[in-house]
Amino acid sequence: MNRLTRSLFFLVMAFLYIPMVVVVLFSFNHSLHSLIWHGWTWQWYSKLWHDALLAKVTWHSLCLGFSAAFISTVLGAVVSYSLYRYRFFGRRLISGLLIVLIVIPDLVMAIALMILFRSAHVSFGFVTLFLAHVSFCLPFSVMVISNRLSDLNPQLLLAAEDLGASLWQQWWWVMIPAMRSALLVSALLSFMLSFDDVVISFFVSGPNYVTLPLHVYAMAKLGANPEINALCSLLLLLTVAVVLISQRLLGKKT
Amino acid sequence: MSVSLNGNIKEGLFHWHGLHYRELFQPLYARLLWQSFEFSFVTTLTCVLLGYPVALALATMPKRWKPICLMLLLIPFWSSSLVRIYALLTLLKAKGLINGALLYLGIIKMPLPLLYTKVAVIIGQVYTLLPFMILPIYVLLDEYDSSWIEAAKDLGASSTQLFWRIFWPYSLPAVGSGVMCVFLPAMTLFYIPSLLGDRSSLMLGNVIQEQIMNQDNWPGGAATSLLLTAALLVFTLVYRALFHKKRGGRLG
Repeated sequence: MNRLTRSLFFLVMAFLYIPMVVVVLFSFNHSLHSLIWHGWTWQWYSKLWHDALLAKVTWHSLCLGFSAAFISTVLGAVVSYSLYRYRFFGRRLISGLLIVLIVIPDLVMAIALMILFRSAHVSFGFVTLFLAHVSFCLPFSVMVISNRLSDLNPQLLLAAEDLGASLWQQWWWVMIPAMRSALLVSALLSFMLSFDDVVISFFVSGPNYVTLPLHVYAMAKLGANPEINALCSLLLLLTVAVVLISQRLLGKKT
Repeated sequence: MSVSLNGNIKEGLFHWHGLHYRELFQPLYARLLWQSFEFSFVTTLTCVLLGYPVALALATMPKRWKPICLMLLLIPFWSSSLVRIYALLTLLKAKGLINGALLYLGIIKMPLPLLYTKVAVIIGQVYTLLPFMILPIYVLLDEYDSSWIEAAKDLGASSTQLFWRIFWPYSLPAVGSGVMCVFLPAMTLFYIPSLLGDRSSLMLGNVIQEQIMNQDNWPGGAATSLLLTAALLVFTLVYRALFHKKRGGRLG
């Protein structure tokens, strides 16, 4: 059993990694179409660097990612704190609804949000994208931060209160230091979720505000080319960096 | 979602009628719905068959290798599925690496039509969603107690018995949450069939996308997505009924 599962493990890893490695490799290939190796080149990367449209959509995605990550982490901290500290009417309903938001298919959420924005006459662009991204990042932020808070000794806060700390002082001196790694992980995950999202952005973006994944999707629909290879390699590099950093952060906690 | 019951959204009048729901029972929709179920079912089954042994291998791995292997699994989990689908596309295309290698080795004379087929869509779905099956199972299996194995072995259990009578029942809730994490996205990730498939391999997600973006048929799109939500609800209820009495599977 052991040898079988282990060999299957390596096969599956190969299945998962070969396509990605091939894309990265061929982003350095000197030829436009052929899969024969024509030598190393940086030309596709320099072409990307000079692509004005790409720079614009990347800027859009970065703005969106940072703002959505920041707001969803702040809101996530507040929500987690309330769920942790207080027992109030509807508390279980709220935690249940957050789980529903995690398991609900992206597409259903996308359409619900689109119809909501359309009926409220919000024009499609940064605002709709931002609201949509915050709403799908928030449940993940709450999950990460609540998970951290469940390890926190509640008497710590009682002690702070006893010693006369105001609510702000409790936050600043107790909660934020205790949650620091979880806050960072939540921000990183939210950023990644927002930066990679296709399905929801597809329905709530406007023609004037296209994000990077939507741009990649439009390009990929026309077929493969080395420029997309280079772009995808950069995106993979970003993911690897984020995974490494968040693992380091989570590792520190224990 | 009330829009799906609304006769004419542009006038903003809420005529309640079931027309858009009746639309769903037309043969075309029924066929597409069935096809989506079929594809998602095959995808989910493949993910269980491949993902379970991988999770087991990861959980029983020596401590030294575990962090690295877990990292190797987390990278595809967090990378953009669009990027990964694109990577698969470059591998499967007519002038791609697989056809190139097979031609070079003389196994085939003509490039195989790998891309824009139903098989490509299923491969794409498995490729994208496999980490979502492996991780929940791994998280649960990782908490196993090595004394169980010793106890079972002491009592004379073979490794097959060990698996079916100890590991499998223990990990069933996690398999359940893995199935949910794979089956539902498989029905809705519209960009996989649209990048890897042809007109005959469209799924429910594509129908909704088409209805809303190209035909401006919002009530229809909303009705279709409500159907999807209903499927989700049935799924969740079945899941809860099956596993809620035992311990709940958890997400990583």
